[in-house]
Amino acid sequence: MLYNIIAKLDEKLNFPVLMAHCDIPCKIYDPIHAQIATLTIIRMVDLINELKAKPSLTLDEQAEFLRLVNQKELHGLRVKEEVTVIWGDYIKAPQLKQYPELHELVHSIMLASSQAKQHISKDASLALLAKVNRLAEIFWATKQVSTFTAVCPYPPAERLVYPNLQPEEA
Amino acid sequence: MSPRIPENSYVFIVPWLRLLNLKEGSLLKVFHPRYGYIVKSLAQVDRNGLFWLKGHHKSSLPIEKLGPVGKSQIQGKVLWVFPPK
Repeated sequence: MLYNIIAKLDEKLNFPVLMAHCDIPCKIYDPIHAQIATLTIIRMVDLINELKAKPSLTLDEQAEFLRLVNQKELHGLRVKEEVTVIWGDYIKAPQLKQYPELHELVHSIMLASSQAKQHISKDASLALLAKVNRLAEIFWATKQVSTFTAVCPYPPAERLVYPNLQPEEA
Repeated sequence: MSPRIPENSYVFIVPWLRLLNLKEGSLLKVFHPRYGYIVKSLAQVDRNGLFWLKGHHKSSLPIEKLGPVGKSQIQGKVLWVFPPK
């Protein structure tokens, strides 16, 4: 009751607004960043494997090798960061109730991302993609958006879960 | 700042209370150079007399990111919180 009285007074007097929550809840979440970061890891593994096939590396190729490894590391961290934000900020009790596997899935993405970072392994990076795709599937399902799977139209040409968004009617 | 101040709460702030001895855990209205007017909890006063603030929400900015503020930036102390029903 007291709250309602203050709310009425607020309508008349416009009390100043204070923020208490500095990590701005912008509500803009999309698993595509994590998916693309995972594709980048796969692409880096492919390119590193191309270098691996050569009997010896020139100085330029050694520099390229370093760049590829750096990018693989960077995108491994990016996957973790993007997934953590969705998990920590977007996923709440209703989503967890609907998909109880979420905690375990997110933790397994952290482990799979570490594996993909630690090794030059296509299998490890594909395993990560499968998990991130599953997270994307769940994410869109919680928003009542259906999904479809398609091969991305660029290297490494892997299967990605996309939201089936409908065009706005004119 | 949830759970101490749920979203859309009204807070009753007394400016002059900031001049009294503030204790750890006091809710303060602060003018932060980066985040503007915010409500935060007093974490500690360091030996230089600077006030370190913290939030109570899991996604609140960590104490080291908020940084310390001087006494002149403290605008008041929260006396009552009226959470929405």
